[in-house]
Amino acid sequence: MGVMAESGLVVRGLRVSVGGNEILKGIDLAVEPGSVHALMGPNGSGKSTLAFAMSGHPGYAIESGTVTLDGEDLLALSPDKRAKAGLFLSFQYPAAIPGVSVGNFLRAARQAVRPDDLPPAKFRQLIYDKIDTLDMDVAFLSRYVNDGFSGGEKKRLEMLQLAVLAPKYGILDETDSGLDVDALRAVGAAIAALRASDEGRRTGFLVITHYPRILQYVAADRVHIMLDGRIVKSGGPDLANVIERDGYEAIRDEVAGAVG
Amino acid sequence: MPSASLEAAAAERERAAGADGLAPIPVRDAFERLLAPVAANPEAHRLVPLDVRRAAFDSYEQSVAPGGKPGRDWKHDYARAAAEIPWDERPEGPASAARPEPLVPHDAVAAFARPAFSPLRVASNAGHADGRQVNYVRQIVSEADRALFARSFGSAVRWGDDKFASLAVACMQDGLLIHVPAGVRLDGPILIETRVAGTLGFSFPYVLVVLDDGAEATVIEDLSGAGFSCGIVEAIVGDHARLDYVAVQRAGSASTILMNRGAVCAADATCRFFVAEVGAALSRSVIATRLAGKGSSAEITGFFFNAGDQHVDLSSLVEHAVGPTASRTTIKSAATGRGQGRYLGNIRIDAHANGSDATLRDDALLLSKRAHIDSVPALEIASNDVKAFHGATVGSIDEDELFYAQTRGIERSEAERMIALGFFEPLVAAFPAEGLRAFLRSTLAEKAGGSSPAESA
Repeated sequence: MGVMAESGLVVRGLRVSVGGNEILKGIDLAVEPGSVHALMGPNGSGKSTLAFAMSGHPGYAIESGTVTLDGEDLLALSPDKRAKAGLFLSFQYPAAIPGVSVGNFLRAARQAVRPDDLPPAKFRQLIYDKIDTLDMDVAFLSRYVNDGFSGGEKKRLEMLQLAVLAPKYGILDETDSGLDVDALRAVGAAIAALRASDEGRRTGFLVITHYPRILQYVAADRVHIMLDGRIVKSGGPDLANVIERDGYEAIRDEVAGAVG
Repeated sequence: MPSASLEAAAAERERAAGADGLAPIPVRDAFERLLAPVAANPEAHRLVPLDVRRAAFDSYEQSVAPGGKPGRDWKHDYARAAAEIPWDERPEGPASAARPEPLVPHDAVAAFARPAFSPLRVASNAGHADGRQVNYVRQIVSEADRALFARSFGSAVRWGDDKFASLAVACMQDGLLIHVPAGVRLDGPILIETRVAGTLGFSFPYVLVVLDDGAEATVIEDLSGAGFSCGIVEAIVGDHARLDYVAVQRAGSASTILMNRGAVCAADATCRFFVAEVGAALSRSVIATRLAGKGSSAEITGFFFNAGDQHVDLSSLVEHAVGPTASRTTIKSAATGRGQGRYLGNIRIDAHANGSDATLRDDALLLSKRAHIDSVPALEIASNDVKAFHGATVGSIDEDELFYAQTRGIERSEAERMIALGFFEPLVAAFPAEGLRAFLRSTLAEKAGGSSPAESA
């Protein structure tokens, strides 16, 4: 190990328990800058646990292992400091914050993550541009964060925040679940627009999903399959098609056969 | 004042306060001394005759202080507060405290901050849209106004039922009348400034608002300063009339503020009370609306935010005397530090008030381990054909909301502050007048420990 910090969002030997039950049983994963990794698995396999543990949710106990972001130890940081280090989590079920407008929330977040890097007029322009990309209405800005939002609106707001914060690494936790084709296309466009921008060119993504269809809109460089708290198989984009064709049970049988 | 009498007064207070601090204070002697100017010049102060004042004082002394359990015993707070009334202070000259900036641009302003029993200051008056200048705001002096007062007094606030409303009547200073004639719609708000300050130390304000049929007005009461204030506001809202009455209590932290406010609504009238309790060490605020005419409606929107060791005791009552009538009561409260609060919410639907529709909703947010808020909703429904809903929550900030904000880079303490302010925001947004909303937002932000959030992008 040299003095050079390892770039990428890197998980090594991560074991995580919730309420005394071990959910993640040793995860190794490295998302390089600018790359897209898909993490696929059936419900209950531990995908969201990984996302929450990496983001610092207090309900998830780290038993062992490391998570680093371009060499910085994320596990030593509070959730807000992880965000400042460049991590973003798109929630599967985003919390509502009644009484706090989307506009104020976006500004507070941007100010926290990238202090004073844009004058107010430029910031406003940035938000309007991103809203346009996401096919959203500016009236959105005066609504309260996720309060009374439809499932699709919540996911669009997650993508708007992703676009406005332009993190180094984005974890998208089932961003595709419950979305119709139009919303899914908007999500794909938002990610594509971010990756095409100066700020987001080197943003790496961990796309957590149950179904392969989001990968039609966000092309994955690598695909990992998670079963029962372990990554049991990794491969190229074709692996997603295998899942689509054969389902997770085939992988489970294959893994069991290899072990047995 | 000779020092001997000061000492006597101090000894008297001490004795009357008693070992447990619960004895009725003040003693009648002090009350009689307060009444001396009234007794000396009954003609000038005959709004409330001396015998009524004395009867009211009896009622004050004999009635039980509001509030035992649950949660905490408020009797101690009230007894201590009453014991601290500076009864024997005599006003000398004008109040010394500087007048705060007016809360909002306004059409008329009346001020209660002046030595007791001297004329009210009505600095400016309402201008009508057609250019007619009418004295909508005036001290109750003329025969006609006294007759109006005599007809209205006690109809919106049944003072005999309440310990501190009784005290307010016993010690009432001269009254303020806001009288808007039939069909007149005032553009700007009327501002009432009650400043408890300077050499005065205490005040007993009385406000009567009369909106004749079809009249519309917004009244904003601004209670500031520091000291003891115990007062009554009564509103008589005529057929099809529409009143917005806002009470902002921003008195200093050493103050005791005890207010009873009430309204009676005639047919198709609308009365909306907005109450912001953002000051005072101890504040008790009672709001009562009686829907007496068919088609009338009431809204009560109120909040308090107790920091440090502030105590706020807020009660609301909506009485549906006839049907169909509609009411909506929305209360939010938060406490931090050792702040204590209580909300008593009552809806009463009388036997023949068929078709009534009542909603009562209150939410309380606890921001520290030592903060405490009791929420006691009560619905009394004597009619079958009604719609009534009530819901109440008491809790701390949701961890999922906090985590969500933190994953956006927002520090935990800042996220807490943001969520607490957001908790109040829908209520603040419902208050009339943008200048007032801005004031409330910055005051709440200060209490939450930080600067005001900037306006939306």
